[in-house]
Amino acid sequence: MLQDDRRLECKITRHARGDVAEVLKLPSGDMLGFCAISEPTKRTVAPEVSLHIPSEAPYKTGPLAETGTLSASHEALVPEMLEGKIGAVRGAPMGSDAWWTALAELPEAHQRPQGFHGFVEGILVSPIGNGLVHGWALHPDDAHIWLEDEMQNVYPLRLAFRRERRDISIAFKNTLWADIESQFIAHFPEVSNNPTIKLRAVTELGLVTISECSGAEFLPYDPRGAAERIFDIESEDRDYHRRAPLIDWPIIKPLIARYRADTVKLTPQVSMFGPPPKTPEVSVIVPLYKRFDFIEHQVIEFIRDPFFRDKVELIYVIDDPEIRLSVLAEAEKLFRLYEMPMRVVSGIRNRGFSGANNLGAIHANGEYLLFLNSDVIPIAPGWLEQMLGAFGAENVGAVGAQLLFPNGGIQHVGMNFEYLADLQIWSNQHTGTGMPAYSADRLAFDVPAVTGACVLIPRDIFTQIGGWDTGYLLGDFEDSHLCFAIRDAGFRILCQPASILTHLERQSFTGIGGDAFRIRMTICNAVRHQGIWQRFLELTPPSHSEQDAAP
Amino acid sequence: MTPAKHRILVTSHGHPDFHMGGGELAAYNLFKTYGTHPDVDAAFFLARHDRGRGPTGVISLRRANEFLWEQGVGDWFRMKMANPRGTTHDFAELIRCLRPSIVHVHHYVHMGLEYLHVIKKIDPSIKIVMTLHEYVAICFNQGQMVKPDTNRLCFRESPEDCHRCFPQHSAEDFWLRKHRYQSFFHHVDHFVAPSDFLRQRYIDWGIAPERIVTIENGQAGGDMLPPRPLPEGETRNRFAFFGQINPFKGVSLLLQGLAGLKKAERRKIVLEIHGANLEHQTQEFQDMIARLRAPLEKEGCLQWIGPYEPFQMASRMAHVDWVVIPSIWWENSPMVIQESFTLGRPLVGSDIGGMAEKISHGVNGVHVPVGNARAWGEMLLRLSGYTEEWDQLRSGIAKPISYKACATAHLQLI
Repeated sequence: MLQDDRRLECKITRHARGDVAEVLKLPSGDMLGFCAISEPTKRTVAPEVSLHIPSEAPYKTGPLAETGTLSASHEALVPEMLEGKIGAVRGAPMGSDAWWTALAELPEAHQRPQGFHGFVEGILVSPIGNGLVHGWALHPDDAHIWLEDEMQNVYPLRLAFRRERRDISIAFKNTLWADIESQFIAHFPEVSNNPTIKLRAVTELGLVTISECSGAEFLPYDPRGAAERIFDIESEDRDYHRRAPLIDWPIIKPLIARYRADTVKLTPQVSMFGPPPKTPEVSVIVPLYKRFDFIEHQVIEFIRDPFFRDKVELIYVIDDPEIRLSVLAEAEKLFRLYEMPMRVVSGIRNRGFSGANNLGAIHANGEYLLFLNSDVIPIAPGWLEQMLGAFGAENVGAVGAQLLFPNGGIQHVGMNFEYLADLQIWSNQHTGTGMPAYSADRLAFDVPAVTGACVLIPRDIFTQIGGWDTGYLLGDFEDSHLCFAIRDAGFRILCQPASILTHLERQSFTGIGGDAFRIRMTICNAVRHQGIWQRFLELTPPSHSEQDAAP
Repeated sequence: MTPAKHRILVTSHGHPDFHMGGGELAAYNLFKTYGTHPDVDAAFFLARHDRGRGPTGVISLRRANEFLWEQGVGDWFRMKMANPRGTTHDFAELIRCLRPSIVHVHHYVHMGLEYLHVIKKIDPSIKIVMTLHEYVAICFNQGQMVKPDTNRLCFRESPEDCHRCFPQHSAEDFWLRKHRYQSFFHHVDHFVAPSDFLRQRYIDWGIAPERIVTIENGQAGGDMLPPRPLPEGETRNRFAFFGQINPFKGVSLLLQGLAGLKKAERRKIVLEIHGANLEHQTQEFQDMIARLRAPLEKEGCLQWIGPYEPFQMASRMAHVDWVVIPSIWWENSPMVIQESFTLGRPLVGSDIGGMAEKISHGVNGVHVPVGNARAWGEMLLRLSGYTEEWDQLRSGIAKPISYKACATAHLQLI
């Protein structure tokens, strides 16, 4: 730079000019731009620029007309000039007043900074008022990048759940940060019904808005439906234990709570078939969901058992509005034929395994409560008395039975817990599955937990622990949660091998399995379960069957 | 001690007035015999009936002490009654009114298993005797213990095996099915098997050996028919098949066996088919029989005689030497075997199940390897060559148990 042909001391920097490259059809704008900054001079003569290109005559621009203060857009063209302002933004806590003030000083970048790419793919809004924003972004690890809504709620992207997106990496393979974990899912504690979400970043070129998305998809009110939708936002099972507490539970948990609160407002319908025993010793509570043809198979066995006639109150809980009328008709028919008194309680809407069992317990009068699945069928009389007999031991809080598959192998003789290192969750495992049945002569033995498919609990202990926990999504873990709560209250859990029933559960997957929904649900529930019961899970001996092999 | 006089209700899945199956006839004959037995005060007969208007549940009088019941089965897999009220009300009324001390159940098909429960509910002191006619409780393939489609013989049931035969029903469903049958069978005081073979199959299935005895179906008395008069130079070469014609009965094996012989050999043999209900079979099966039948009839070695009434049995058997029973399923105690023995005709039968048990090879008949058409042809050819063997086998026939002895054996159970 010259002034009056005198060379000024100046610093020259080079930077990218994508716009120039575009006009000249060059493959890259890297280093096309330059900036010369001289020391301040007092002279009033306008400076000129002289370009020296090897083997070319020097080119002089002549005195440059424009003097005075640089505009924001000029500043934006010169990264060095923004350093201070960028530093001010980065130095303030994201979203704070100071941050917003500093951000207001920063000009918009005149062009997309190199390597920064991203897209807000969707916004899901829960009826509770929170929501999820998901999409992808390519940027350096230390980028100052965030999501903000139209109410200036700011969500730093580094807090989002991130995962690799191979499709993005491949599409942007020639750019700088193509291989980072580009996918993001962010939980917004508060989001409006018609949100506009921007993905923005502060770069050396200034403030840039990478993507903007308006409008939202509304999640259903029902927790299962909401879960199905958010589970659709893909991520690997092995990462799900990280994602669940950040993303899934914040959405599902308040929905479950609200569903439960609304359910309480519904008055259950109770139908009585025949007179129940006046002072029942045991109330047998069987929730019904979808299939109900098992009722007759159970009743055929119950009527063969004299203890049932005299001491047992039978309660079926309809947990599926679809089958309510059919179940009532079936109950009427069965009562006419078998004359086994039963109470049929309809919860009006689906309450899940825990909720249905709790509803049954409200309508039970027995000193003991036996929770029984409808697909568990006794094979000979006497099993319930055997289970009651196990309470003769000291400090027993719950007793389970020996359940067999239809082919005679063990389905359940107590539950154990296994840490699945790949998923980083504790899963419930039945010990000895498929092995030969235990001898009926064997004494009842301590187990870490028993299945909820058949468990006998004194009513006072059940009340003391607050019944079945209804905080899980659909199924899973409610039985181990119940057992841990009983153990937490100072009681033991026993399995009574003399009580043998058939459980018509399919012997399907070992470990956790099923469709994608089922696996994600299990991981979510496992995360909640281990969050509450870590201390018991870690106490668990490696395997019941190993230390106490079947005879 | 003199036993108290019995009041016996016999139940059957059909009335022989309308449907002449072996089980129906056995039940009805037993009912008639009970009625004349000195230890019996009164005997009644209840037969399931179809008037073509569906299972109304109504019970009506057929004639004195004989009733018809319009019940049906709504779920064949679980053998569930079609009309619950027909069982819990109409049938219950019948039991209250007749006050039987014994209900002799000959079947539950077409009626549902539930009526067993109703009997005991009304009066637990009523004894239930159940005669098992085929393997219905064990096998969903019409109680045949033969694999569907392939007709391979089945040797055992299990949820897993049965699910392979009927993939549309899960192994768990088969467990439930068996469990349901066994639950209702708990009400039965005594089981009766007409053959040791069937008894053993039910023991294997889960009935305690002490709860099930073998009693052969009774037969009308009377003398054996004289041997068919043989014209000079002729041999014992006339064979007859009596019974239903369906894929399990093996008639096609006889026809294929004959077709496999040389024409000159066939000329020495006459086979008569006294068969019923071919028209109720699939078109495919009917066509196959027609194709096999035509050339043999033309040649004269096959005579297609058609259905018969029970009273015609003796006159028809008088004109033949041998009775054949080529079934490809196990059978239980086929009525035709006892009838043949009563009338003095040796049998040629498949070498399995109830046939192998009732026909003693070399004593009162001969065995042929099951399902082997060629062996059937050769056996008919061999037997038609002599008269001595026939004479010897005829002399080996023992008189079957009479109606009265059969009824007495049943009453001794109680």
